[in-house]
Amino acid sequence: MESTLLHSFLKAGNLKRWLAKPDCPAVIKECKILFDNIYAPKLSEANVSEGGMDTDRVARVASKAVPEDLRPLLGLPQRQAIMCARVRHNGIIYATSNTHIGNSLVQFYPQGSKSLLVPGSIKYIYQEQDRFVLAVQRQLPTSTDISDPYTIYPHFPAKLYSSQLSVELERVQLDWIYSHYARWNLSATQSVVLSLSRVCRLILTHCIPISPIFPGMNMIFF
Amino acid sequence: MPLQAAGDAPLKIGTPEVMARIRQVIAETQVPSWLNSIPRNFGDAGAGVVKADEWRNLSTIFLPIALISMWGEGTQHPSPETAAVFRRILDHTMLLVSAVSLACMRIMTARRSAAYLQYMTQYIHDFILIHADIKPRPNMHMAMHIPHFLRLFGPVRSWWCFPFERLIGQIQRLLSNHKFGMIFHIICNVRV
Repeated sequence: MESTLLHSFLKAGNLKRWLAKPDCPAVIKECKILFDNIYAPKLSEANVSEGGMDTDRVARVASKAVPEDLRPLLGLPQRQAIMCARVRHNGIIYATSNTHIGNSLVQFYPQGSKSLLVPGSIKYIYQEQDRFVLAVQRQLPTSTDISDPYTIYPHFPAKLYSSQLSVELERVQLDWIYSHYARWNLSATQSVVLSLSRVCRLILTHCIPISPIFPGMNMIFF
Repeated sequence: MPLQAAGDAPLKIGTPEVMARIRQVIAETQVPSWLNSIPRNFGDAGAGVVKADEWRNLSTIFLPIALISMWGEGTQHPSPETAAVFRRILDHTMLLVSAVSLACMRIMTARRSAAYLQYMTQYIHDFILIHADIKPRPNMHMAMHIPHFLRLFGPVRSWWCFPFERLIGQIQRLLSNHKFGMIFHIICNVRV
């Protein structure tokens, strides 16, 4: 069984290499296009491009009356705005909190500045010129006199926050997003926020945690 | 030093309260749709076999959130001794959680590989002391070889066996006439 799998894997590798070479006959390349159309995952160019728009925007996007809390972000006294329920960026779907609460939880760099990372929940997704931007409510910090049992483990990037969200909305571009996060309500007033990035373990807090097990192992980026 | 004297009854870890908290965290945690879900009745026979990716999500997301909320700093226990024992078990478990998280990172560095080794060494060292009644598993030995592979081949995602496991799963679901191997024999004979 293993040798059969290995042979198939090697044959597939050879086939891919041959298709990429210039001396591959045009008829074989034509077959590849056909097979790609049948079997390859269907992601349109718009979906994977920077600040791309969702392909189902025709169904989901509509010009709506601007909610009262979104007006300060739009700047102009316009009454209508193009809004949608979800948007795809680099293959990842972000949604408003009304549509899918889990997909609305994002860590982002405020104003694109990489010095600070804050968690928040997407409330609205609206069109600004030729791209979509997000209106996000920040997760408020918890009171400082409560000890946080989650921050002492340097490679487990969780932290306690208040379960309340800020009332003010914040404009966030799609390329300011760092990753999604998981949230669990520990109590009526506190939530555990855990970064789900599998690329870089970035601690959410400003303080540098010290491992109780390896005191020398301090980290912000690791 | 073992956590209990020779005559004492061993401290129960997997109590119904702990299982209930783990299930509560699985059910209530808000996660994005790309993260594979875990059976909400985790631990029951009816939940079925937990797959490798589900184990990973369980051990790096849901279990630590639940256990820290029960045994972490500032939690309430009947006596300071019980609190200290649970805290020690939690710190020990978090060594494994940290090691698994580091090993599964999509970018691998020499520092991450070294940190994985440090966590794993400490975990195995403490395992014999904390869980004196459980025999060490062969997996622990194998886990100590992973840093070599991380340094040689890079992130675990590019050389783990899950693509093959997925392929085996697809083959198992294929309809067949119980004459195994014929399709692959034909495929392998097609000269590329």
